[in-house]
Amino acid sequence: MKYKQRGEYNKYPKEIEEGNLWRINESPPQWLIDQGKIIKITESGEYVFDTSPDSNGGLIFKSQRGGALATLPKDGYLLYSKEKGIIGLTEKQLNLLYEEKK
Amino acid sequence: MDTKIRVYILQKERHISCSIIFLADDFRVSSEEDSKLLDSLSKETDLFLIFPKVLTKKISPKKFSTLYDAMGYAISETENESEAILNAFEYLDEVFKKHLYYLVVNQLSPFPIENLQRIFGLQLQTAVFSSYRTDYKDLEEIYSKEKEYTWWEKLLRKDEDFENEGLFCYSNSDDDYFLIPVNVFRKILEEYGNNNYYIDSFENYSFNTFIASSIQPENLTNSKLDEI
Repeated sequence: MKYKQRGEYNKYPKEIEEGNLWRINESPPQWLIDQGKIIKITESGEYVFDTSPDSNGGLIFKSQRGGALATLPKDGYLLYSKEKGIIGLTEKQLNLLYEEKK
Repeated sequence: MDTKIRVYILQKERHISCSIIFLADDFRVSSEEDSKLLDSLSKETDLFLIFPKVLTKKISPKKFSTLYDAMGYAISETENESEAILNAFEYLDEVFKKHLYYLVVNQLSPFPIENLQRIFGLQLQTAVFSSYRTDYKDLEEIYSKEKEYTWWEKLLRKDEDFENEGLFCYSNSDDDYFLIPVNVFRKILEEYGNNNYYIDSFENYSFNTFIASSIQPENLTNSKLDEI
């Protein structure tokens, strides 16, 4: 599914391309595998990322250098774009900022 | 709640408070005083302007907002002022999570804006504006649109046709400035945000009526902002 901004806020990408929005129960996309710090790959082929909890129930993903890459809000999404990098979004933020692109 | 505004952010938030102004369809800056008030609001708070779609034919929202150094603006697809303001609050609170107070401006009128910082220092937990119980005359006006019924008969009717006509209005306010702490605004949104019947019933009323009727009376300090 593709999304475009309802208005304009340049902190966020104008559009979200298919595959650039990820939530935790889905298999990780390549952009997260490329930039996140992976601790191990399980026997079944699942990636385990280096994360730590934040104070709001979210998860801070570490970068390969060990610093914070992005914070995944509780029940939220990570969003990727070339220009803006990886950004965390709550479900509500997604609905307020974006609409489906038809 | 479903949003009916499109938000455009021009600059990052800079203050702990945000002023929201829903501009009337025929809005214009009519005096030097108005212009100074807008300047003061943007100096003391993050200014956020809501343009009804019809107004965008007369005023360029981006140019006007930039001129007054606003943090951003919205174009409203709803003519229900209260709904648009609730939408704006929801966006600003959810996306920025920074503002502790919202100053909703009904009409530009003289007000000691420089005192806001002092008021914020009080760490208010309650909204500040004066309100009054809707009186007989107001009720008659609201409930007597169809002449065959008296307002009281109409109030008591349970027919669906009458169910959603201003039945939730029980208080009002004549103030021009409403200071609403973020927690109070969140409670209102939580309680009424998904209640379309409730919000729609204020379509023909200003935000004053909505906010005065939506905040529990004990939550009001019942003071005019400029009297604190």
